[in-house]
Amino acid sequence: MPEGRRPGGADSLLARAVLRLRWWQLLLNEDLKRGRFAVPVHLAIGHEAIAAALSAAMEDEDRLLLTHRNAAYNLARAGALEPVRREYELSPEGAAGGRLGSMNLSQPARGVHYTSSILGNNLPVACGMALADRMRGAAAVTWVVTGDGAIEEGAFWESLIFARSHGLPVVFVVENNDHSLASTIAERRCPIDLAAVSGALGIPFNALEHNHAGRYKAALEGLRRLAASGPAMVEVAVRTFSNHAGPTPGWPADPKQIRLSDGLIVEDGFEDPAWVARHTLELGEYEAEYEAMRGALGGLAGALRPETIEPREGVEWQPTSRRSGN
Amino acid sequence: MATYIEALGELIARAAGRHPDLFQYGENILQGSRLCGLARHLRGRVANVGNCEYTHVGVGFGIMAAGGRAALFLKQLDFLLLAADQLVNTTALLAAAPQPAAGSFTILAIVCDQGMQGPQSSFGAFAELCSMARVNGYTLTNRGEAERILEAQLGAPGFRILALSQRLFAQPVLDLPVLWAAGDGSVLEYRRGREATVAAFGFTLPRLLEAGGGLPRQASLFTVHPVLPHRWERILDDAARTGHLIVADDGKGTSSLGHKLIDQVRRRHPGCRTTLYSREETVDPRVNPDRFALEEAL
Repeated sequence: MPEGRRPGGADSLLARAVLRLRWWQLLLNEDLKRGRFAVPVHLAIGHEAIAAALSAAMEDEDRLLLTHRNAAYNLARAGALEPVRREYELSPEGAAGGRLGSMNLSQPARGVHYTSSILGNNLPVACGMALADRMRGAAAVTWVVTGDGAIEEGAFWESLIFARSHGLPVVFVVENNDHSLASTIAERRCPIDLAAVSGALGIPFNALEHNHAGRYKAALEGLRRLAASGPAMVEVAVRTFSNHAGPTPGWPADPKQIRLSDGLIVEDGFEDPAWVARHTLELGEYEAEYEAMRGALGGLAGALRPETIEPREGVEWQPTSRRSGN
Repeated sequence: MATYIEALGELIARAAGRHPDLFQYGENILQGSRLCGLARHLRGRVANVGNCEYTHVGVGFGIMAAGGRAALFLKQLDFLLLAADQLVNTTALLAAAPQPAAGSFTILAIVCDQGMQGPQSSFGAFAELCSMARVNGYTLTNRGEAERILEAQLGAPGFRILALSQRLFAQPVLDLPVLWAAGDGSVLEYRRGREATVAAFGFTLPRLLEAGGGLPRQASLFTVHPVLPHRWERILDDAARTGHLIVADDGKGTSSLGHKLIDQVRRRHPGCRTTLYSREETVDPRVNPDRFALEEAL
């Protein structure tokens, strides 16, 4: 068994981190159903793999800048549920003393230096922080998370130009969940080929999918090394299982259903980080199967049925059921 | 005698030079006329940047939040409209942070108040812009004022906007001895008289002095800047002494700072006479938005 997937190995720890993030978000979802919080909360159920991987890829002095949908990242950096939960209550015991709530939650002591609810707003701020770090001779890298909606803003283009022109150590992390509020990409705009955009500006680019946190971390560490001499970009395919904001379900007839009683996995398949994490833990050396299936499917995430994965001999595994009506 | 732009260019460079870590940046800051000479004397970390005003403002806030120092130079105040989100939302967010940002960010913007330039590119509502974002602003009208404000503000912790008047660029710089200045440069006093108290907001001081004859000869003279909270005690006390407050305000808003000062003096000193000189109200697109009513009123 490769070292990374041994119990306590890197992939195993990351898989556990993913499941922990899912557990905490499911608890927050139940809180939201009960109307516990004073502010709107944008859960990121489905974003746990990139959040866990990015948090693990960050070095001590690195900075992370987030968006309104920051729950998975803030939980990962906090390493605990209660400070975040209390912040959503605007309690003085919250992660930011109850001053920032959810959409703007940052925790500088834990590497989250700025979080904006305005699409694209955090991108130039990230460039400024990276510039300040470089001027003081720090080896830090600034990670800034954005989304497929925010890349439509002029701020995205401007910030890429600024970061590239000044060789800033910034990694642009584009979460593509195919949604800007209720609109899919096809419903609102033309496609944007970020590989081509990056290529046009001479920015290293990578694309991640299928939610394997260990692989994500390795890819992010590679981009981090490249970012030492200028910006890099990564596009991550994510599926947001939770509603845009508030609880899921959000109303009695909501077709989306996420219940704590159903367990950690919302949907079987590579689109659900918890499903991938569970298999990373339970199947050990399932990497080869993963690769084979991925190749057979031509990279089509989500089409995979759990029944197509045969558990290794001696490993107990019960396929979980689909239950999200996204 | 030095012109306004020569004098202020040197003062800005001198103030900037006190902070070797100050990142000075702007469009055409190193090319051509270097912003009509404004940036000619800058030394140290000076960077020419592309046409990305939204990002430039965000970068300044990022540097400030990370503990560094930044000074952004803008050819025209209206360029800041492209960064309205950064001005409003990022300042609000940084102000709410549990720990105040240790760094510094200053925007130096030129107000195109030299005359009608067409329907666009004549934005001069400086006080209103500051008010929208609840940020502190300073208009640099004369040498002594510029010296005090630059010394107090450029490179200091926090954020502010400093505005220069393009109308004054080629004129000899106004030299007025400063009798007294608030520590942050928000109010400056130039002379003390007995006939009236003149409070000049925005860029009205040079206009008042150019108009000359209409002012009482023995008037106290102050310049006032859109800085929160307002600390106008010295002006209010002087108005109580002279019995006549004259406010000159080139703000374009319907509720200007000048009105606010008049309200305060009326509440505290009901017997005090008040006079307001402000912009000519017009919606006629053929009228130069910078044709100031003050001269005619005086």
